[in-house]
Amino acid sequence: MKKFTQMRQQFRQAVFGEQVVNMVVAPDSLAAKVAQQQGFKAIFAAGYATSASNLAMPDRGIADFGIMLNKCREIVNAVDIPVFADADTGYGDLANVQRTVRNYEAIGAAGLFLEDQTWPKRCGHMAGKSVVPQAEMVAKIKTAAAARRHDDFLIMSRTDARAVYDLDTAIARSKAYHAAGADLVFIEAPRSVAELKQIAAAFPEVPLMANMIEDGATPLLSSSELQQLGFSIVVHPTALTYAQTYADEQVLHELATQGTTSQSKAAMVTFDRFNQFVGLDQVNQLEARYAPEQMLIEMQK
Amino acid sequence: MTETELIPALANAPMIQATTQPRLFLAGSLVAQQLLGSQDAELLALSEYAQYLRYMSLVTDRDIWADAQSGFGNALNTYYTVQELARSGAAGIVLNDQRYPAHSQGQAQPVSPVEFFGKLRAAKDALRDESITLIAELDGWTTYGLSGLQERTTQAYKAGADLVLLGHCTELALDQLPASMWQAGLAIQHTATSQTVTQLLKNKFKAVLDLDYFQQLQPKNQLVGRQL
Repeated sequence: MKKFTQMRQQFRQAVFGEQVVNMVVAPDSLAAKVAQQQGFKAIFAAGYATSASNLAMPDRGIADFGIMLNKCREIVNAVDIPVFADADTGYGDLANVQRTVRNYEAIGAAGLFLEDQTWPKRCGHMAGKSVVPQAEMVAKIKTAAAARRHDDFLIMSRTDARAVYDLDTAIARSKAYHAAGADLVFIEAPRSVAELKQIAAAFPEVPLMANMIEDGATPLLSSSELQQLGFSIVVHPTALTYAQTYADEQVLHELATQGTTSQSKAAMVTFDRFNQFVGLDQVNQLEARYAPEQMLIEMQK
Repeated sequence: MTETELIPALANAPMIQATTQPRLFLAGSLVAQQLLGSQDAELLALSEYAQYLRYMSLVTDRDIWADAQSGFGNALNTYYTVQELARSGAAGIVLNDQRYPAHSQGQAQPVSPVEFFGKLRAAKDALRDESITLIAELDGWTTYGLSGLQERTTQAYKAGADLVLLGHCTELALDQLPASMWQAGLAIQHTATSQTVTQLLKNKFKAVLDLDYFQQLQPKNQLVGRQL
């Protein structure tokens, strides 16, 4: 599909370009559309937010391939900017990795990352993680790279080895994953600016991703600071999930205790503005185009 | 000795309508075949299989046994898998002792007895007050042998299984099984190659899950099609 091709090309150009790609994880297609409106150049569809929005559950490997793929598809369909996907462990063995890559490519994702955790996985900043042997993950990356139909469908390797072993192991694993075919590298949960610098120094030629999770293990830096350190991609996986929960709490507290939304209303988007934002006018125009009166005119031409 | 119940394995609505058997098995491998063109059962995610089960459960009021595979991960995943299958209309849930992902092809690689015990216990807890049959499918006969089979059968009932199902045992000399195991109650997965064995021992089993049921019927269906 032409849109999918454009999205992959846009993402590739952005990632290998000069400017850092600032990505936000969208819990749903509406949030993705807001991000697009606010000028974001790419969206991330990822497990923490999908576990929250679809299941109201923690990111612990309960949201499976079907749920994650469908969420990503909804987001791709709602926006025109590229959507990158969190594909966790690839959801099984090499046969599952192959199916995962083929499916994400088919729904129009710009690429995906695979991580070296055991299943069921944990959010990268949670305690108690474990990783599979390096060779097992190398085989997954090779399988993923071979399974894609388009070279510009980008494969990112993620390692969780920093928490399980140390940063040197995480860097060594990532070098092996890159050699196996990963276009992009993501080392999860470094613990200091010094560690971020060490990662950047280890991969001068490979686009790197940094994960900015509120209250996570990594110090929060701005996108421009991360760009200066040498990172190409920044992702914010939890901001919208926490913000949505906050907004829900505020409004629902008033509604539960006061029985109205009159206080909260001042902070809300209005009926007209929202309808305009989600394209009510365009939908109405589309329907009108096929109205019987119009069609009669066309038929008589 | 009660007569062995034949439970057809099937994968779509026309199959359900083509049989009058009171109990049906929505086999993961056949659903994978239907949707992916491969009998690789755990290529399918739980959410995909469960959605399909929800369609099937509205086609009939008869009992459908669902295929929980290996629980799609560890005991934690098994808990949520069983919960999802229960609310998707399963009357019985078959959980196997294969390593995740369980591809149901070639020789099955079993998880350790303690890991499978944990999965069964998680499954039982997830079912709580539901009147849903929990079936423990033991697939590793060729790996753990008769003694392993006996031990796992005992432990499966202890963990909360309602029935033990012998799978992947086409070469099995079932007549070697001690009387105590028959008395505990066993079901078997039936394939074309084990047909003779299962016929011989037919009434010793509580149930036979017939994975080839519709393969055997297919020529007849084609004939009917031509006549129409």
